[in-house]
Amino acid sequence: MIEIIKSAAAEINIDPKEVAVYLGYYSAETDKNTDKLIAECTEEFLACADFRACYAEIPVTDGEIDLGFRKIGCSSLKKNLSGCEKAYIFAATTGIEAHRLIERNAIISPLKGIVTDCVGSAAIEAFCDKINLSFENCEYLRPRFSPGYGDMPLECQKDIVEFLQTKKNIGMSLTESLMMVPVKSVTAIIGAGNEKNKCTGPGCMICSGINCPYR
Amino acid sequence: MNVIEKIRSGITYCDGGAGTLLQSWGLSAGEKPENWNITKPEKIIEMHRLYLEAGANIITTCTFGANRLKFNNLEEIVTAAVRNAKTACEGYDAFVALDIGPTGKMLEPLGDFSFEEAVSVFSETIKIGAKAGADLILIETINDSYEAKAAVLAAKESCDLPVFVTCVYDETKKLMTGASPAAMIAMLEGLGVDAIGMNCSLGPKQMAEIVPEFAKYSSVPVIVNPNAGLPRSENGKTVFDIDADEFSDIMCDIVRAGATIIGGCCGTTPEHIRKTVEKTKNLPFALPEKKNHTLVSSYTHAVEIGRNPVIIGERINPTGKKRFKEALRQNDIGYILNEGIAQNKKGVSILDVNVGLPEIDEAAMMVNVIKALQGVINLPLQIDTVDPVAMEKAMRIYNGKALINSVSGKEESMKAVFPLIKKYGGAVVAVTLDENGIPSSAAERINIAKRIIARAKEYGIDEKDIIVDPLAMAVSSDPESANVTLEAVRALHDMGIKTSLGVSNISFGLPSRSDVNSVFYTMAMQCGLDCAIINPFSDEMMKAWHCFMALTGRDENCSCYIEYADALSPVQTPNEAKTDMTLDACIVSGLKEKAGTVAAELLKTSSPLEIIDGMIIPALNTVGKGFEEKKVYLPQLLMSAQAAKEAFEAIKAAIPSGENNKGKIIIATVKGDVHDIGKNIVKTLLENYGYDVNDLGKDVAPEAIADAVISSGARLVGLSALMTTTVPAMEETIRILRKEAPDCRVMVGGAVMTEEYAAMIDADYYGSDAMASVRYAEKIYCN
Repeated sequence: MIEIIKSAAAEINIDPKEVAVYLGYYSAETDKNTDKLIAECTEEFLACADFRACYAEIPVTDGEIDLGFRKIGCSSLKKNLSGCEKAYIFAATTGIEAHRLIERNAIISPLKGIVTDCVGSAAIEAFCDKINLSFENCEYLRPRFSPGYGDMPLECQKDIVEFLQTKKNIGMSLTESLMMVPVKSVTAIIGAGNEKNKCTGPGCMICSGINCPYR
Repeated sequence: MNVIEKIRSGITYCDGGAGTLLQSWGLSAGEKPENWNITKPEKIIEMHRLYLEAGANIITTCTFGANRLKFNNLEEIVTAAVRNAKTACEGYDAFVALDIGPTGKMLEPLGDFSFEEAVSVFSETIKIGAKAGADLILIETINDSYEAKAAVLAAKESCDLPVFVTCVYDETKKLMTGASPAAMIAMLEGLGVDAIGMNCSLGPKQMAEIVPEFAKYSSVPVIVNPNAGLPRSENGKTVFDIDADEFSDIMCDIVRAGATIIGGCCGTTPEHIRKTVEKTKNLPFALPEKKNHTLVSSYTHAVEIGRNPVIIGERINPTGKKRFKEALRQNDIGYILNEGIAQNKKGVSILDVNVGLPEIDEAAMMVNVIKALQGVINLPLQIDTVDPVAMEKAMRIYNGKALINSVSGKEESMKAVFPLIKKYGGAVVAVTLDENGIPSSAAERINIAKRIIARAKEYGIDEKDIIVDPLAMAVSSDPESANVTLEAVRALHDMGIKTSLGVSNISFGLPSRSDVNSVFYTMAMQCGLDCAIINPFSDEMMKAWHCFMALTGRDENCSCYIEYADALSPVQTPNEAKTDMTLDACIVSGLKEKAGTVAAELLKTSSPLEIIDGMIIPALNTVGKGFEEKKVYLPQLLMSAQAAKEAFEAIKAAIPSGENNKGKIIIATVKGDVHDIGKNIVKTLLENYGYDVNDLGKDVAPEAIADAVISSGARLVGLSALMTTTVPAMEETIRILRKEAPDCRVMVGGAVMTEEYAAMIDADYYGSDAMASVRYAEKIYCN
């Protein structure tokens, strides 16, 4: 069964430092003007955002997941899911008004556009973390593993979106080129097992994109 | 009795959920129930029969997901589905609804699924279903107003069957994409839908809270098909928490609140329907009264004309605006959007959109601007054009119920405009002139208004959707003109007819026009003016509106006025305007306003080129170098870029055209790619450095990029791609460019790009960031 969760904006804590990382500061200190702008865009974003997620639990067999109409299995996912008996198929979004806000702010100025975009990235990550924490009642979770990571094809987006009926359940859909709309959305497979190992660090670290600045 | 007579004669019952029933009969997870129409027709017929036996008058075909995007054998599936439903109905007094569900795609401008493609997908299914003998079209479980419009248009254009629409509202009483019930009712009634309502997502309790909204605004019968409460998992099976007894009890309340067509959705069973029929069949039945609200709507909300005076922002209009005309000629949609965003912030309720210019394709521009505006602004729009082709195209793709400007008393005008209003819905401004021109008396103008309203009725357009503009004419040429207009406004108001005025005409030829306009505006509001097209950047006009609202008891505790007046207080002290900072220091520090002021001041002592080459460019270089050395970060780089832009704007007028133009560059995000934040940053920096950048936008076809390069003679193109899935489009663009414009260099960038990747697709250069693109441009254009 597909569970649907909504969160109020007040429950989402967007860390300005996280936004600064997306803006390219990494560990460097931000200046006062940038801090002000991040705060302003965060406030605007939270006023527009509509945090929704949906997920379903499914069994894992030999590192593979059976969606009924398709099996998902690839070497990096198998590695990620090793030792897991089940996994959560998961999708989350910050909503269509937040998408419009990013577009609107980008028209007002590229500066405001990029800062709002990075606020959105931090927001969806914070939202996913919050929901994933709620899964951790009786099991240990693997890092979120998304289509496009490692050798898991981006095409798996289609399967996840169809399986979770994301358009109906959380208002998220895919373009022909597999981009998610609204823009700040996430799909992932999250393994759950009884072993505590391999459970720390962001899921994207397994990605083969070694040039990625967010590693 | 046909289905329309049926719903007008008493409470009508729809069927309930299909999924739960079919799963209990063996439908597996992931299996498409539509296929059972062919593989297990007896089960589908059995399901329909159970609902008919329970008392349903309308059964829905098992075609929820049946469209060409999901099925190759669409005709076979839909024909079988209608046949199964008709077979089940034999012996019952019941109707077959062709079930039309959502496509699962997000429409443009936020998604990539075009409106016409959506219409075409729905049309295909509807044509098959109508041919197979369905009695009505039920468009259901739609959570996007735009998709609802596409489906209704498809139905209206493909068959003559009645059309019912139910959408998915959530606890916030809105659709997932933001529309309120009033917005949906305005749009769907405008499109001529026969019954309107809601289904899915919520249980009966929550829907009962939304029904009054429907009862308040809808003039057509209201449909309510709730889920059986909320789902939960029990031993791996999905169960719902409201049983048939509780469900049917709440359905009684829903009928009492005004719904006359009721049934169920997910989790409901024949038992839910049977008990609902039993308990509600003897409740009093009344069709909804005809409502007199004049509504226009966007994809989120409706604006009612006739309560408080409504402000229509006039700034999206090239008349008398050099910069706006330039934006239209250069296809600078960003500039036009900014005009919309700024007016939105000033508090207008509707945006007028006029993009007519003799040398451009007005219809194409109108469509582009409306799509782009609806991507970022949720205000209803007033489509302002005299070109019937542009008007129809705009009304067709408009997401909501638009205000149309305008129709006149000329027969030719009414013949062109009224069929469009009838087909697409809309409220229309009717200007009181006819073949004989503008009458000089109020009485004659009112006569024209009456004639227009009577003529509209012949087309089936209600009086409430006609907003009369009795025309404000220059008081400088006729001292009676204001009196005549005001007399007409008052008389029309007393007759219950809504009015609108283009206020600023009144002051034509006079000094201090905004003073004259604002006093006239106040007088007109006092006479009952319902809406006015004004310049919201005029403090005098906005003051007049805020004061009128407060003085006529429409602004509780004067709170809006107080907020407005507080924001008006001067914030700048005289000393603050002056600064000792040099222009380059302003730019390096990213001080936008100061940079503009200082540049304007410098212009008194230095030539534009001295300022650009001696101060702006060196300052940009300082910041750019810092960015390259990772001492300055992207936000700071952009703050400096904005400050430099402000300085450029201040001195722009003094630069002979072309003198500071270092060369043309075309930039675009490639086909299939809908994100362009990175590309916009590149554009900003290139423009800072004096390049003439033609930004083609996002999701641009390879051929369009090649055409732009050839026609402009640009020697450099910048392409952006965010995803691996769109890199092939980039490769294809480069291939065409090599053939069509072999001398043009191509630089590429974007999240997935690397030096190796760029080489692999035959690009000349990979820019890792925006400064890198500036450096490469300098290399190309300095040689």
